[in-house]
Amino acid sequence: MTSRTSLYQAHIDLQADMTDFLGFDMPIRYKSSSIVDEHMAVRENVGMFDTSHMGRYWITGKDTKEFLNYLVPRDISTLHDGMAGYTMILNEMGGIKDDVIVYQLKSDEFLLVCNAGNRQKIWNWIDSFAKLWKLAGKDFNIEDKSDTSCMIAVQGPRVENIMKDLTSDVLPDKRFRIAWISIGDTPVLCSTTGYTGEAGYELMVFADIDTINEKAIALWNQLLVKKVVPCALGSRDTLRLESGYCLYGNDMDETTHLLETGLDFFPFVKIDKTSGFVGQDAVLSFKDKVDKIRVGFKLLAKGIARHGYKVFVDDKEVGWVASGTQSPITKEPIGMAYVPITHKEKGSLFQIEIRNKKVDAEVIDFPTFDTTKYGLRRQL
Amino acid sequence: MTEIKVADYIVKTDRMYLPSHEWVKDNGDGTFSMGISDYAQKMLREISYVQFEDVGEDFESKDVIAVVEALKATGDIYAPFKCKIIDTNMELEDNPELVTESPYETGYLLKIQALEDDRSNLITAQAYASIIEDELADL
Repeated sequence: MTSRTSLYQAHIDLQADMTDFLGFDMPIRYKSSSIVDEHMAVRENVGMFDTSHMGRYWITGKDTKEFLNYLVPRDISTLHDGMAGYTMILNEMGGIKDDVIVYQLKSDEFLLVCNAGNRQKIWNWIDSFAKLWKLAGKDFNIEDKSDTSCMIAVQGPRVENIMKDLTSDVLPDKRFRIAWISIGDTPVLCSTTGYTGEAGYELMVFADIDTINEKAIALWNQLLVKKVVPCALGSRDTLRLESGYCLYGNDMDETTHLLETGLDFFPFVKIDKTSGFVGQDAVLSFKDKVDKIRVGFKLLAKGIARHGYKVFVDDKEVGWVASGTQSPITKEPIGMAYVPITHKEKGSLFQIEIRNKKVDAEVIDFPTFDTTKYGLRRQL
Repeated sequence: MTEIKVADYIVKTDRMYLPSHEWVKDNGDGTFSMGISDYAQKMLREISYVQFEDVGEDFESKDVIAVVEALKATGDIYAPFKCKIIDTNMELEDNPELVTESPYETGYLLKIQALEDDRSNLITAQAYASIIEDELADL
């Protein structure tokens, strides 16, 4: 039985193609648009995604920050009120349990957002540590607000104009900031985060189980009126892949070591953090043993390299494709793969087996688009 | 009547079909043109590439002879009978969207030569239309 987000009815009203995504009945594309239309709306204009299926855990109490700092490899002691940080939760072997964003609302009030498919797992994991910490007299409390809140990611170069039409409150300006604003009478938690490589906000409304659907749809409709284009999982995937963002379950999982993801850099991760974190011993002892690593690639011929396809060097199987698609911007076949560390530099060549044929591929940098024309650092 | 309409999907009646959504048209000279149905292209959507097996190669019935790659899905194209690929639609190399725009004409996929006289896998347009109806009823 699949779950529904508070925006389910909005997707049905827009006649979306629905799919079971990690146990949630989610839109893959909307009736009136193609994946490429939705993709270009975000790159050139502004689009919105229902991301309510993600986990939202509210953690309060004076020892919250110390607890979270132990759970993740990022040094979150450097976060200030109104700041957010991307990082991971590791298992004891240094594998990725999930990638998450930690938001500091106040010094004793945090929000943790995790992936939809990992909600129960992460809840159980955090709870197991929380019990121990509480036994040791630490003061914090964790509340699962996932089902009583909604989250809409509004993304694209025109996003600021839209938001300024909807609120007179001051919007957070830098990336990875968070602030409470009001849209009409509704308090909205607004963060400058996203999964598209474009400027954008993620808007969260917290309510209770009886009123969340109504409030979520009211916000969605306000954005629709402003001509924000509804975008679904299909374009979410092409957008994040062009930008080089990992998809948990495809590009990393519990068996992927942190150091293989290539995400072990400041500020996401501080592996020698003196206060320690879960998985630190495994990470430190793996430091000189990394033999494969995640890279971006493009195919040098046509085709689409999909998850699980094999990577070859000199006819020897040496890795695998994590994600692949065709870039709607460049029309090139792009993706992420795990390759030998000897092949991590830009321009390195390898082959991918696509339906019994080996196709040449080249390591490229993310984002895969022209950053002067698209994305966060575009020249307006 | 040159076509049947099932919901939004057109089924041309001047050719035969496979239940796996390919059309097969007899060119009258021992060769057959093949493509995918209007229903198939609308289900795949956003076709980005067609990969063909090699021209000149022989295939058994139900072998995969081409793959239609869309952004979110792939569709295997099966040999309707024992055959040889004699030509592929080179236009699709640069314009894969032809399959979407004109699945029955300029967006055809390939031409094959029959190597045996066995049409038992082929079904009529009418029979294919009822397959679409059944699939739509299951959606």
